[in-house]
This record gives sequence, C-alpha cells and structure tokens, in this order.
Amino acid sequence: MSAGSIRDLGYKRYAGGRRAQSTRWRVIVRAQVADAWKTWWRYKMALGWAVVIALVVGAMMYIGRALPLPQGGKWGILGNVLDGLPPIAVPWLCRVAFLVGLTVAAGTIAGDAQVGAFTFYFSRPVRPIDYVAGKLGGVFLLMFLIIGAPLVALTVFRCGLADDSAELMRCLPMVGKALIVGVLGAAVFTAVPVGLSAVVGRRRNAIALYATYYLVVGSMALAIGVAASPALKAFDLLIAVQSVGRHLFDVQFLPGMLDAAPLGWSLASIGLHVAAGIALAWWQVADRAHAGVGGS
Amino acid sequence: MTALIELEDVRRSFGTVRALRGATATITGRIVGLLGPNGAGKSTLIKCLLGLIAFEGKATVLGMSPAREGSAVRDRVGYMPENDAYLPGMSAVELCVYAAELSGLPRTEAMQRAHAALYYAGLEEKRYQPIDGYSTGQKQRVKLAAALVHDPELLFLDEPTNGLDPRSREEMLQLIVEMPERRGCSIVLSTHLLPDVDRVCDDVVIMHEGLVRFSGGIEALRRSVGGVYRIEIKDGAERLVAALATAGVQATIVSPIALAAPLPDQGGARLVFTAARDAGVQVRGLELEKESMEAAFLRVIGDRNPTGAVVA
Repeated sequence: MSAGSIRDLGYKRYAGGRRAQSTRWRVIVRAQVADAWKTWWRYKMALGWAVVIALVVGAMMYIGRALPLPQGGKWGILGNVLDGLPPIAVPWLCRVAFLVGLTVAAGTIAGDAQVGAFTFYFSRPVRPIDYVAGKLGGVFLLMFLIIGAPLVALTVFRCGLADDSAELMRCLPMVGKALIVGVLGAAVFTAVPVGLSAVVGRRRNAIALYATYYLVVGSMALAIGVAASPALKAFDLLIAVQSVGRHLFDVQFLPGMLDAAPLGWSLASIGLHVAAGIALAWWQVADRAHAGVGGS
Repeated sequence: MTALIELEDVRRSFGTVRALRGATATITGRIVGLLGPNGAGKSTLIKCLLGLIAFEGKATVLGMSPAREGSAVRDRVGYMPENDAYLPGMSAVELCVYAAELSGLPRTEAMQRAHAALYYAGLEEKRYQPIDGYSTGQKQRVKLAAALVHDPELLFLDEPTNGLDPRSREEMLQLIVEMPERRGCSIVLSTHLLPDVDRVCDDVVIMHEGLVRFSGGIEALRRSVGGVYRIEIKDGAERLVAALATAGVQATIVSPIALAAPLPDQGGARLVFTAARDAGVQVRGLELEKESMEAAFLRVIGDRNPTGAVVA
C-alpha cells in the first residue's frame, strides 16, 4: 500500500461459509410468512376466524359428549356425532382459506412481477425452482395453519374426550385423517391461487382471476353436479376437500345438495388442481424469470 | 492482473436476432465501463455473465464458467439493476437481510452485513422505513446496498445514476469510485452516460452490434488528435502564435488563454517554451490534446471491424 492511500480498515471480507443452494427456498418461505404476518387484515384476522371455528366446533363436541345421545338413528347422526363434528369445520375453514387466497396467495407471484422483484430474486443465486418452491411452501404453511392445524387440534381434542383407552385407540387414527385432509386442503388452496397468480402481471388482476375461478367455476361445477352427475361437484374446491373429509371420517349425516362428491373424483380433482397450479407457476416463472435482468 | 471476465466468441441469438455475434475480450481493471448504443448486446452480455441465459462460446467470470456454475457466479457477483427491484412493504434493512440470505449468508451474518452495507450507502438513518416512501436517490442507494450486502468480488452496476439529481449523481459516483478501495470489489459499470465513465472508470469495453469493439484503458481509447498539443497561457495569445509561426508551427487560438498547435514528437516542448520566452508569454500548461470520450466512442462504433474487438 502506498503511503498516501487511505483504506477502510474496518471492512472485512466475508470469509464464512454459504448455505447450500438447496436451502434458498426456505429463505423465501420465511419471507413469505413474515410478509403475510405484517398486517392484521391479510392473515392474522383469517387465522383468528379459523381459531373461532375450531373453538365453536370444539364446544359442540364437548357439549355433545355430555348429552345422553342414543345410538343409531336414520343417518347414524346420533351414533357418530362426536367423530363427525371435526369435518364439519372443513367447509368453514376452506372459506377462510379462500379469503387468505385473495389477500395473500393470489398476489404472491403477480405482486412480484408487478414491482420488478423477479430481478431482485434471479440476479442472485436463486433458481426459478427455488423461487416457486419457496412461494408455494410459504403459502402452503399459511394455509395449513388455517385448514389443517384446527382440524388436527379438533381430532386431538376428540381423543381427549374418550372415556376409556379402547375409545382412545379407536379415535387416534382420526388425527392422521385430519392431517391428510389438512394437507390436501392446504395444497389445493395454495396451488390454485399461486398458479393463477403467475399467469397475470398485476396483483389486482390475479385476485380477480382467482375469485372468478373459485366462485364461478365452483358454482357451475356444483350446479351441474347436483343436476347431472355428482362427480362433477368435485371440481368445486371446497366440495372436493369437504368430500375427502366426509369420506375419511365416514360422516353419514347432512345428506342432500351439499353431500359429498365421490372420493375418487374428489382426490382426482384435488390432484389435478394442485398439479395444474404448480405447473402453471413453474412454467410462467421460468419463462419470465430473467426478463428484467440487464435492463430489458 | 487476473482477468475479471474473459469472453471468447460468445454468441447468443433470440430467434432471428443475433444479440451477441462472437464477443471476444479479456476484461481487467478496478472500474470498467461497459458502453454501447441501444441494441449493442450489453444486457444480453450481462445476462450471460450472470449465468441466467445459455450462450455459445466460452466465458469466465472470476475464473468460473457462468454456463456451468451460474449460481456460484452469482454468489460472488453483485448486480444492481437499472429498474426498481425491491419488495414493497419491506424496509431497507429487511430487504438487504433478505438479499444476503438469498445469497447464502447465515441470518446473523446477513443482519450485520445489511447494516454495514446501508451505512456505506448512506442510508443509516432511513434504514427502518419502508422503501416505498424513499426518493429516487434513496432507492438507488438501497439497490446498491442490496447488491453489495453479500460481499461480492465483482459488481455489475446498471445505469446507477439514472434519474438522480446532480448532487445525488455526484454522491453515487463518489461511492462507486471509492468502492474498489473500501470494499475490495471490482466494478463493471454499464451506462449510456459517457461523462460518468470518464469520471470513474479506468478501463472501458465498448460494444456494438453484438461485438466487443474495444477493450482497454480509457487513455488508450482516447487517441491523440494528430500530435496536436494544447498550450495554456496567461495572456498574449497573438504574440505566441506569431512567435510559433516564426519557428514554423501553425498554432490556432482556441481561447484567449489557450492555443492548439501541432508539434513535432522530438523537441516540441522546447520549441514552445523558446517561442514563449521570445514573445514574453507565460506558459501555464502543455499537454497532448486527446479525443473527447464522445468522439472516441463514435469513432470506435463507426470503425467497422468484422473480426471483433479493437483491443488497445
């Protein structure tokens, strides 16, 4: 160093290790959750509603246990009322998940595209697959807390209401079933809005697109399903998740228009929606990822 | 000096458009200007060097191949984009921490470096406020801090003074000038503003029609104008012109205190000082007159050379 030169002696180059490329998606998951948590109306309020729904159903289970209910009945309602109450929460939780889809999920990728954030991500060591996995993972976590966590909590509560060890052993599989319904519900209520979010370049349009898809396509599927083939009802996201819950929990009451779609069709519909949503997100992001880098 | 970037016949087409048509250059230096008119291939070259798009030919950045090790390259390289590239609702600290974590730094280290980068960029007092409310100059500084936060060895700056008022522009240029010394990183400055390049860069790469037309030092780029010297004087321009004419030199008056005169390579300076003494004129400066950056740039991009680079 020459005598006259001045150096910032306080600055030290980073000599530590860097996390593996395969962990970058987790950073995006954490940022996604933190972003949703910032304002009360985007996620906290919905989570509050999910808790209220769980408390109401839990209270119904507690009261139902105290009632001297006879076994049997026309639809078996009196026999399996306690076991059947947790899935009753599913459609209500799905409605809350739909709202979170509007406030959080639908704007996920569209919002980034709108403000030029793709440049921020992809000029760094982030691959499109890290980005898509991070965005999907973050929204999935949020959705699972809305749909899955209350369901699991309710089934654990149901186990706690067991009179003896035999009833407890009979109830324990319900926790796993609740987990399955929660995962499937969270997956479909994540993939669809995030996938549609990747199609448009503005947050507002993405929200409108998701709302239109959910309400219009869902209503049409339900109407056609009631009139023609019950299988088509499974193309309503809410009905599909609700149906899986009812089949798994073997709920036999509340027949009629809102009765379950066939299990196979429901699972197929969920699988199709999830696959399509992920494919759409991946395809669009990979295609547009580098558009902003380099100034054109 | 180890080359920052080596290009060997780098080619890239988009459909029928040949954005890079065989760019070849060895780029070294502390602050390198990347110049070229619109459509010259600068953006495509940056994308190739960041490992974001595939290309034909060979390229290395800091000795690594962006074609095979794109993520590793971006771990060691920073990029400050021309356009806004921040996440709404985030404060400057949150954005920089996020940027550092995306580059693989552990959270604690990311937090420390985010504060240091923002301090360096002059945003220490605004760092907790949402970026949405920042001025254009402050947003440019956030982008610079976010590009620096993971401690890159090479930094691509894309039009960093775009939209800045004169004072902010000067401050940004000062940051850029100091960066190699204070942060130990080299800089590639992509810009249309020739005065910015003239002010901060040591070396320059000029691209045109998908080719590197010049790569080398700025002094080498700016040719002397036919052996013409600029003579700065206190006064008495006419007297000096007459004295030089007596010595066989046809000088012209540029201003009341400056002349331009073609001088021989040998003994030119002695001739000037002798004539000045005879004319009773005080000489205050004598230097070889060189092209302006603009003239040199226009000469290079107009100098069609199908083989590629004009290397100094």
